[in-house]
Amino acid sequence: MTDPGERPPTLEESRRVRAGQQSRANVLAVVLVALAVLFFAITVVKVGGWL
Amino acid sequence: MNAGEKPFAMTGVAAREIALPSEWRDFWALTKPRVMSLVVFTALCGLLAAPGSIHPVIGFTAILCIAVAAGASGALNQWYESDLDAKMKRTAKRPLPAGRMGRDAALQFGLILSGFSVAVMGLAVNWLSAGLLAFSIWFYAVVYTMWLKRATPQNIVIGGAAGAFPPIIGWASVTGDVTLLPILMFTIIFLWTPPHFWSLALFVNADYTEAGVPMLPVVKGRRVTRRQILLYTFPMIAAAVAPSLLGLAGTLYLVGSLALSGVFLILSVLVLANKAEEPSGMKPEKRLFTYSILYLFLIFALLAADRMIGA
Repeated sequence: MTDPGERPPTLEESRRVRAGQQSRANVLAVVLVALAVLFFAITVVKVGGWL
Repeated sequence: MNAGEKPFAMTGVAAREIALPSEWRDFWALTKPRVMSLVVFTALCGLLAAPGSIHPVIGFTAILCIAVAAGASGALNQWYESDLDAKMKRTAKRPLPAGRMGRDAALQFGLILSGFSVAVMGLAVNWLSAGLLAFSIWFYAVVYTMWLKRATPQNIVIGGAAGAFPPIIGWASVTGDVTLLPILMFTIIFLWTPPHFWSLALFVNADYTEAGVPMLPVVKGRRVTRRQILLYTFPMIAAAVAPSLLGLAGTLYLVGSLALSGVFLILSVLVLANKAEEPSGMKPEKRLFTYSILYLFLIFALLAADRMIGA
């Protein structure tokens, strides 16, 4: 059922929602890649017997 | 509104709100980046001052975990204190009181970062450091934020311990133990916290009063607070010069810490001499607050440098 107070988002609102989602997704991707690199480096150090 | 969503401000449409996901900048702001910088720096100094060596990757991981844990503590603090933050000018623009983020999102973010930082610290560095890290998060989020802050004017005295852990954790990351020097580094931050925070509390007193936070100036007045600032300065200076007097640091640190502490003492005396009741007349308090940050940076940098030169 549709809320009587609701209306479809305007073009500008949709654009801002998408821009916000895109920005969060980009940051998350960078964080995940950085973590993958870090865990790989930690594994190499541990397995390599540097500690 | 769902967690992590915020109202969309629309001109001319009063009855409707569109949910926007919080921006990454809001999550970043939740971690209190400026506080984190001091935490990271003191932890790094603890790590550099420690005897022995640590692989750069593991050292980096330790510092990263400490930074993430500090961010987690900040997020949990803002989650719990969003009502207080909304009442204070200084904090009203934070993501939660400003309505840019839901409380649940802040809580989940804080808990996930806490778990992540402790687990990675334990697996990659050592479990003593991980245990200390978990304890420091708990101390800041539960003991300081939930128990002390709204209950007693001694809130930042006891709560200051939470911010004093990073050099101990940095040290323990290298050595796997805790000895006298990291405890002295802890003590320096612990005793530095009251003069630092009370000088701030003096010139944002109206904010704390309005929010009902029992900071010392609110409960005991400005005169008592100014006296307490000076009283805490003496043991802080004693702790600051102790590493040299106990043979744990050299002449470079002794001379530097004496000079820096001398300036701190002079600024504290100027605060005591100030009788201003309004923030506009509180230049000495503002000066001490600013200098106290520089002081901590320089004292720890000197200690780390001295230890590295002497190693």
